[in-house]
Amino acid sequence: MGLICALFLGCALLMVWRLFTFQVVDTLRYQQLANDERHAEIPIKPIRGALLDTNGSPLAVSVRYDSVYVLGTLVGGADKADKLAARLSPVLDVPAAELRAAIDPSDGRPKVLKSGVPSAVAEQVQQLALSGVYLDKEPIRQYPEGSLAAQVLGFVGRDFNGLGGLELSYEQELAGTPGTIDTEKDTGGQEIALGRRLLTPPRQGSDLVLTIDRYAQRVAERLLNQAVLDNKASGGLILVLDPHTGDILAAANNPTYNLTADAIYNPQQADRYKAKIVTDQYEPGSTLKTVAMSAAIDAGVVSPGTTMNDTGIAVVGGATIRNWNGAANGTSTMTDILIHSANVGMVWVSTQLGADRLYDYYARFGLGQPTGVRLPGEVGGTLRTNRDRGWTRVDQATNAYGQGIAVTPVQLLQAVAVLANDGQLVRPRLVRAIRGPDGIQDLAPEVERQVVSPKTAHTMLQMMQAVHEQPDLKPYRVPGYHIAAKTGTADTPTNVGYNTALTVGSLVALFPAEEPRFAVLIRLDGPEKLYGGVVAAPVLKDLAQELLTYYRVPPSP
Amino acid sequence: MIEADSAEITRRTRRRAPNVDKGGVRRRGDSVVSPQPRTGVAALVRARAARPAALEWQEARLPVLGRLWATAWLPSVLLAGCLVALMYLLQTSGVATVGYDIQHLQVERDDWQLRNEQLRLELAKRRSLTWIESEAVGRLGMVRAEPTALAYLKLAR
Repeated sequence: MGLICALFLGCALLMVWRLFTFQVVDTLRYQQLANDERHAEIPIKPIRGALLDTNGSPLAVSVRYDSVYVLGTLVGGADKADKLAARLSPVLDVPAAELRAAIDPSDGRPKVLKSGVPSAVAEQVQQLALSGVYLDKEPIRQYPEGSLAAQVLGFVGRDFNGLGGLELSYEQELAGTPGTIDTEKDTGGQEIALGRRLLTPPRQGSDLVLTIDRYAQRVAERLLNQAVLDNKASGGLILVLDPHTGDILAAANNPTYNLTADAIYNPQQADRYKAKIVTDQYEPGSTLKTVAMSAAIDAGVVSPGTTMNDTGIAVVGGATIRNWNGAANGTSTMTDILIHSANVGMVWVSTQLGADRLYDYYARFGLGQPTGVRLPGEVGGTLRTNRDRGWTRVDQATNAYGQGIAVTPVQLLQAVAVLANDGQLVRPRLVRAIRGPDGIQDLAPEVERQVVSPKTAHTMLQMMQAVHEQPDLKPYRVPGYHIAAKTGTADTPTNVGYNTALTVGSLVALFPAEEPRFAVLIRLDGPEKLYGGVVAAPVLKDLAQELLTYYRVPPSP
Repeated sequence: MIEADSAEITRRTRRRAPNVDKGGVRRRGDSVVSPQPRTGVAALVRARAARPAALEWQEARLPVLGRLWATAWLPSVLLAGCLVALMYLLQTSGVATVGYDIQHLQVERDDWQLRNEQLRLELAKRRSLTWIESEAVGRLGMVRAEPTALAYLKLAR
């Protein structure tokens, strides 16, 4: 009896000791274990901001859709997999054979059967209550306007991070900050209603209001695609800028990529994913004569009526420079030089101006430096000045007519737009407002500097108007409007000189000439008919008509 | 019965008030508020009539309640404790139910928000220039207007 009592007493003491250990000695440890068991931190993904056109039309938005997954091992064998595919096929609108091929009954990893499934369809799938099939909501980047302005907008990866264009350069603003729900869950994984719940709300991504106008963009893309086809060109671009604010209204590229494809990125066409308006530099050819001539007029070296004798040949530093057509234009005014696009005349102008002032003006026009338009991969162009090693007088001569110098399309248009803005250089921009959780942040246009005097700018507009109204371009005039323009044909550089059979035909224009509302660059790469005046001028006419009508610009007085 | 009680009370009063003589003469330490009646029985009857009835009832019943309290306090406390526990249980379970209802409604709200997002997107797609143009040209057989069809009229001022 005493032994039994002692045994019981011993057991009781043991239990008391264990209880004491659990409750007192190891309290913190067991509390921690219990908390870890119940504790759950549910992440809340922020909604990525949208890209809107200047009028608020969505160009890229994030919308959550259901994805239908299958877990092969839970399906229950090949027969059931067949039945599952047959039942899901009409609901998901996917052939049963395709679904069946995706289901591997021995695979324990989840596999996507279809993503981007609308809620109504997801509900039908849920009602089927199929073993091994489950749904998960995932955001998908959608482009309501299709592939409009694809290179500018860019795209996102599977992790929803921007991989190109504005999606990449404005990643911080668009992405937002994730939030969390710090809570407790029951054994079924459900949140305990009376448990601890600490909500850290996510900061939603901001919407970007772009300067792109979807109508102008669409018109530009349509005309560009047609021009590339008509001229059998390898590609091209159209850039439309508001010269007073620097707003890029349209930036069309050809070739581009498809934003609505299931797999947007194709590594074999990597070149298409660059924002070429800032990443690709090229020799602008005669379109740059407007900048060199502006510099000479602003410096007071020449005036529109100043004359020189164009013999068709200029010898500089031992190199012979000829006009594009080999013609000798004789006594020519500065306006004539622009009208005939005379290289020899521009060599003379650059000599009068001098290297120091030429390159100083080029720098003030923004050449050789990035514009800061905030697109990924922007380059500053290539400009070898008289302060650089290897520079020769030939560089000065060729730079005056746009060869031996490389610019990006945005750089060139920014420089030409100075003439439409009373001589002020405005930084081009693609985003005019950021709509975030804290309100709307309007971004004001940034005036960089006064490059030339307003008088010089007006003089240049008149000279460029004379260029566009020359007889050769008469078919491409727009009835009722005056346009200031300059065409350009640049030979493409190779390792052994220039290829004259492969050109870049381009044109810059400011219209209406009296008070320009638009600065336009049209460029066709490798056109069959070679010359900018032939291939780009017709496009300008159509584009100007569309834009002037759409923006309700009254005719010139 | 009342007579008997009155006599008893009278005896007790006499024992408890030694400083009051028959004539009602005030001694040192007596109250000065009111003079005592001269006749003892009549005064007692009047005093009895002036006392509250509830006090008398209490006096009459106190021993019974005391006995009752002595035997029933434990069940009463237990009953009260049970009631409190039951109410707490009811309240917490009610709160839990409401909590789960809220969770369910939040899921439902999210679902409707999601449908709303999808419908907005559908609307945006239907308003896109690409879709409008394809519908106009493909389905309705429309053609593109020539820009030259626009004419400006000069109005006299």
